[in-house]
Amino acid sequence: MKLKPILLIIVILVLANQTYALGIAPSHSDVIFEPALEKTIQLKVINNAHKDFDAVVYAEGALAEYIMIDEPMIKLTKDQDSKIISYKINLPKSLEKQGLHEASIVIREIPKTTKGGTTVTANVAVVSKLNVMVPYKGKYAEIKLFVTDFKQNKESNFAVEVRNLGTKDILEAKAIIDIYGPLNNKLATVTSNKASVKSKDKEILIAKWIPELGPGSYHAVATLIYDELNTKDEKSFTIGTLELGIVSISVTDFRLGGIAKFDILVENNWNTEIQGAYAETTVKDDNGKIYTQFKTASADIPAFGKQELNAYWDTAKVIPGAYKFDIVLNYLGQKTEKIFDIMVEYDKITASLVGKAIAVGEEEKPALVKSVYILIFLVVILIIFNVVIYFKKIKR
Amino acid sequence: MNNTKIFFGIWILFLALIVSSHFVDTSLSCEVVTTCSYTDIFHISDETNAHAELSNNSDYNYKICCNDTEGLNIGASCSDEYFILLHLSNQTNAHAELNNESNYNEFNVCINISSGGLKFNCGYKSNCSGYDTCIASVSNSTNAHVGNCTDYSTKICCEFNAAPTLDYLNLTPVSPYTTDNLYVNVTCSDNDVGDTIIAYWNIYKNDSVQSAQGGSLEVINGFNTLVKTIGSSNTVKHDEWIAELWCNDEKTNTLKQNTSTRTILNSPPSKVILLYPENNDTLFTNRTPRFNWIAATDADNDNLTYQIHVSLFSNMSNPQTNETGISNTSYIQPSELDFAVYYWRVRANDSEEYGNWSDIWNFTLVPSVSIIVTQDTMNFGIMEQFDVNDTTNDQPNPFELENDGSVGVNVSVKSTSLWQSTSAQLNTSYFQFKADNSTEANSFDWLNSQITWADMSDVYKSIINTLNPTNSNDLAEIEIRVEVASDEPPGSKSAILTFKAEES
Repeated sequence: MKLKPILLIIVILVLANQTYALGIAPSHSDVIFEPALEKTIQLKVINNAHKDFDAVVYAEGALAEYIMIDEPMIKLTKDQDSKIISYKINLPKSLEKQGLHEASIVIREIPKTTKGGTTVTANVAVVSKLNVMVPYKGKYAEIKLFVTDFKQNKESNFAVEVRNLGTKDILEAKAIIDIYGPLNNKLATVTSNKASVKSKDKEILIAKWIPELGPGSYHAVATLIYDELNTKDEKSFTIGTLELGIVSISVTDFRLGGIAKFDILVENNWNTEIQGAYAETTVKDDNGKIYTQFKTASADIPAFGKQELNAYWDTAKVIPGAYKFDIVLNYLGQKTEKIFDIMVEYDKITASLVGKAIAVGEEEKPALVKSVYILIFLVVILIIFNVVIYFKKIKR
Repeated sequence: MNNTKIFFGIWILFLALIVSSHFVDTSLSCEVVTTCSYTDIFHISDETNAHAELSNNSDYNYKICCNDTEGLNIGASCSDEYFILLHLSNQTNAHAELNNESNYNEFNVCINISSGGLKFNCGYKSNCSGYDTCIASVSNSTNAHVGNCTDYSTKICCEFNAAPTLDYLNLTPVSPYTTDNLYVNVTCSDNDVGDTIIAYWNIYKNDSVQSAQGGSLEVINGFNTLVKTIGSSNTVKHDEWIAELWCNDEKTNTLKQNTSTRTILNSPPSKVILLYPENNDTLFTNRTPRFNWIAATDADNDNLTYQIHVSLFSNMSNPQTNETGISNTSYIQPSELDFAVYYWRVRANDSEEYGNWSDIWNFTLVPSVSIIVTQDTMNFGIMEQFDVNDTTNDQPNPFELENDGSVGVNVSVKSTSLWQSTSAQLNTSYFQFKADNSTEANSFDWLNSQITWADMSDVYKSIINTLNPTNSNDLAEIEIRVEVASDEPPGSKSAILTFKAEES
C-alpha cells in the first residue's frame, strides 16, 4: 500500500518530462525555375522520439501561393519512424527577379494541453525550404566540392559538381583544386577533367590525386574556371587515420623497493598537435592481479613528433619477477592500448614488446650483484650457525 | 505385312553380316604330321610318349604343324606376338616343361604371329573346347614327355585372340570446381566376337592412388561408357586428379593409359546481395551510413573479405570510396558524405579471386532538420505579484535543444501569451527568453544568437544561429524569464512556446 504514492510520483515524473522531437528531410529542395512548372516533392517527417503526435503542415513565404499541401494534417504513431508526405508546386509563368525565390514548408506539432501552476510548454516546428532558382542571365555556375577519406600514396579523387544556373551553356569548365596544410601553406594542386555544362544542367568533374603527404588534416579549395568566369568551394579533409603510437617504455635509476619511473614515449603520426593526451597504466601479474594503476599527466604531442609521459610505481612490496605493464593512451576521444611484459629485478626493470627487449634500466653490474648474493649467503650461514650454537648451549 | 517382315529380316541379316565382317573369324588348326605344308612348330620323336626338339632340328619325323584358315603369317619364332608353348631341356632329344616352370630356360617352343593385330591365347587345359585347336599334350609339368593331343591329359590349347583396344578415355569436366563431380569415360573395343570386355581404372589424386576410387566395369564393345563418378565431396580446390585406364577381354590387357590431369579450380565467391541503404531511397538522411550486405558464400569455404565502391556515377567510375579487405558484412562510412545521389556495390574476395560485383544500388542523401527538446514543460510553480524567476539557476531547468539532424539549424521562437495582465502581454519584459551554453560548449554561433534577454513575441524571433549537427557539440539551453505584473489576476498561467528549426 505504501508503494502506491511512490509509483504515482514515478509515473508523474516520467510523464511530466517528455521529450519533444521532430524532423524533416530534405531540409531544402532545389528547383530550377521553368514557366508553369508542376512538380510533386516528397518530404519525410521523422518521428525520432517515437511517440504519438499530430502535426499541421503548411507553406509560408513568397512562393507559398504556388504550393499545395496534399495532407495538411498528419498523424504519426510511436511505431512509425517516419512518414512520407508530399506537396505540389505549380509555378507561375514567370518570376521577374533572377536568383533565389523561397518558400517554407512547415511541419508543426500540435501542442498538448498545459498543466497547472505557471507553466511554459514547448512545442516544435521544423521547416523544409523550397528554393526556386531563376537562372541568371548569361553564364553562372555554382559548385560543390566532394572530398573523400584519402589514404597515403593511394589514388583517390576530388569531385566537383557543377550546376549551371545561368541561361547560357558553359562551353568549358575545369576545376583546379589547391591543397593546403594546417598552416595554410599550399602543398599541392590538382586539376580536373574539362566538360561543357548545358544551361540548367549539372556535371561532375573529377580530379585524381595520389596523396604524398603525411597523415593529417588538410584543406582543399576548388576553383571552377568556366568560360573566363570562376567560382569556388572549399572543404576540409583528412589523409590516413589519426593515431598516437606508444613507441617504447623505459625505466631508469631503479632500485627495488623504491619508486619506479616509467618513461612512456608517445609518437604522433598526425600533422597537427594532439592536445591533452594522457595514459592510464596498470601493472598486473599473469593471473590478472592488479598491483598498481596510474594516470599520467596530460601532455600535448607535437605534430609528427614524440613526447614522453611518465608513470610511477611504488615497488616497496614488490617481489622480483615478471609482470604485465598495460598502457591505455587517451586522446581526442580515442584510445590506443599496448601491453608490455616487464621483468622486475633488484636494480632494473626490463620491458619487452613483440619478443624484443626494448628498454633496460640501469646497466647490469655482474660483479656487484654477485658480491651481494655472496654476502647474503654468508649472513644466512652465520645465522644458522648461531642458532645451532644457541640451542646446544641451552641443552647443556 | 509378310513382305514387311521379310524385308525387315533381310535388313537385320545384312546388318549382322556387316558387323560380323569386322570381327575375327579366323581359326587355328594344328596336327601331328610327318610332312608339314604349313608352319612347323616343333618336332616329336613319336606320336606318343615322345621326346621333343625345336623345329630347326631334323632328328624327329613327327611335326606339329599348324595352319590358320585365313593364311595369316604364323611362325615358330619367339618374336612379335608370340606365345611360349613349352620349355625344352635341349635343342633335340629333349624333355619338356610347361611355360610356368623354370627348369629349362634356354630352349623355348613358341608360336607367333607377325601381322593382323592378333595374338595367341594359349593355355594348358584338360580339353581344348573353346579354343581353336589342340597342339600337343604333355605328361607332366616338367621333365615331361610329349605326345599328340590324345596322349596325355594336359593339353596345349591355342586360339587366335584379337587384343582389345582402348580407343578413348577422358576425365571431365576439363575445368572442374569443388562443386563438380568428376566423370571417367572410356571406350574399349575388341574384334573377337563374344569377348567380355572389362574396363579397369585407378584414380590418382596428387599422385597418390585413391584405392577406394579404383575399380572395374564390364563395358559394351565400342561404346563410350561412363565407368566412374567421383563425387564432388571428395574434391578440394587445387587437387590434381588423373584416371588411369585399361581394357581387358579376359585374355589380354591393353596398355594402361592416363587421362589428362584435371586440377580442381578455385570457386569464386558468390555475388553479394546488398541490404542497406535501401535501393532508390530518395530521402536517406544518415551522412555516415553503415553499408550492409548479406555474406557471400564460397564453395571452397574460404575466408572472405569484401570490397566496397561508393561512387557519384551510376557506372561506378571514380569511386569516392574504394575499400578492400573488409572482414565483415558491413562498412561504416568514416567521414560524412556530402549530399548527393550515391551508387554503391560490393564484391567478395576469397584471397585468390573476386566474385561478381553485386547489383548497383543507389540512394539520395538529403539534408535533414531534426530537433529535440529534452523536456516539454517547465513549471515555475505558484508565483505572486512582483515575483521574478528564471531558469538560469536551473530552478526550474531550462529547455534544452538538441540538433539531431544532419545540417546546422537556425532556431526561432514564438509563444502564446503567458499573463492576463494588459501590462504584461507579449513583447514586454514580463516574459523573456535567451540562448545559453549547455554542457556542450560551442554548440552554436554565440555572437549571432540571442544571448541576452529578449521579449517573447507571438511572431517568430531568432534565438539560435547555426546549432551544430555534430554530436559532441549540438546542445543549447533556452533560458526563460517570467515576471508577475502587479495587476496579474490569480490563477494558473500557461504559455505554449514553439521552437521552429530550419536549415541555416
